[in-house]
Amino acid sequence: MFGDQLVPTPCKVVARRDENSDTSTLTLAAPAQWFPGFRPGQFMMVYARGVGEIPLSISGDPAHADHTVVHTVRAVGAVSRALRDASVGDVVGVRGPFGKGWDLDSAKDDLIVVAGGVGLAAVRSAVLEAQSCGRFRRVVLSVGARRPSDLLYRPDLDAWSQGDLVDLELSVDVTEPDWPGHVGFVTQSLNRLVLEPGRTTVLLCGPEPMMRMSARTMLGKGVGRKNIRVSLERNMQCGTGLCGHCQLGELLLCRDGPVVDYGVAEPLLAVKEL
Amino acid sequence: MNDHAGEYCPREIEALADDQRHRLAAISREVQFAAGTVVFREGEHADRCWLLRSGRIALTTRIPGRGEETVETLSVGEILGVSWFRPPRQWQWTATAVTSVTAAEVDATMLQSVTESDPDLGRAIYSILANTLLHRLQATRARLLDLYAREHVR
Repeated sequence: MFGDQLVPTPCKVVARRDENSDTSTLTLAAPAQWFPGFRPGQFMMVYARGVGEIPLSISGDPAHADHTVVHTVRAVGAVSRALRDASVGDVVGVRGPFGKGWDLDSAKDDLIVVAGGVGLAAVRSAVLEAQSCGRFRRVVLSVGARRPSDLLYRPDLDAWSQGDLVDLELSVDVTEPDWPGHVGFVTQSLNRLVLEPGRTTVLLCGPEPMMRMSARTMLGKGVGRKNIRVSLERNMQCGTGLCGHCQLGELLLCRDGPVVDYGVAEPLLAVKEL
Repeated sequence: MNDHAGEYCPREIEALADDQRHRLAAISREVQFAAGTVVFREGEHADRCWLLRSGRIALTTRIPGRGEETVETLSVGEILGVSWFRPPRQWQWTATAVTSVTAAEVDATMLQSVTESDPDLGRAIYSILANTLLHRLQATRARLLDLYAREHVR
């Protein structure tokens, strides 16, 4: 944690990449002595001046310690639209990092990472770390998107598809011309996986129904609930477990999450409107 | 993109006794389809099915003004072709090899005959079919939810 947890630190946008029609990736540079590092799966509260503040996953490379932080933001509301529209040179406010991450140290030998839509932003740092640490016997990344043009991080996906370290599966709901990948729901790719359940840890991030369905597919293959981890999102506000806006059952997700194991998440996700 | 090529085989087939597997093998033959090959066309008589060993198949249909649209792709370990199972036994989609494909092809008439003469084998075959259809139904319903569509939040 840097500075005051409740006061945004001004950070300049030093790079911007448009991922698709409504999503951009911003690289933010912070003042000197920042940035203390982060764990894959953690998030920041990012403030668009005069508009508001939202939680955004950190999607950069944890090994890339150069006082910058990378966020991918999809324009779905006023704040996210203002951030998505930020130009190089603009200044935004940042607090964090907050929450528990994916905890790759405790993961088993085989890592199955499943991301849906913009959920890929929250697992990108985990995949990058898994790729660089060399600890994993196998890393599978299964990505679902509405259509091919919605896919994020195309340079990364291209590199992963050609390399040996990540076994990449891309699935889209609706195809487009010249799409060479799968057409179908992400669970179909998961169903095809041959895995050793006792040596597998699964990371899930995406729409909650997608995570539930993916988790059930993995449970059906024998992976234990404790080895399935999901990233949950609720109304994060303070980021420090004080305000209670992100409460989910007994959890304050900004503090106790956003990553929790499926044994904890499953009963909570079954409660309507919780 | 990788297709997790390997030795994946439905669990129901792995669980069969040796003689049952041999009986199944006796009515199967290995086939290969080059990329672009049309395996079957919508409306034609459905008289076979395939267990895909490698590669990818696209199921498509023609839509006026939009051309040939892919509704789903199938890959390693999946069953291609279930329309032989019930009348009118016509393919509902056109199947085209997206990549080079290898598969075990099974004659549907012979398969039905074998399942009638060996109830245990029949149960295994119909269990595979049921699992295939159930999984595709659930995946199709999930796609209908349009889960990755834009949500309106902050």
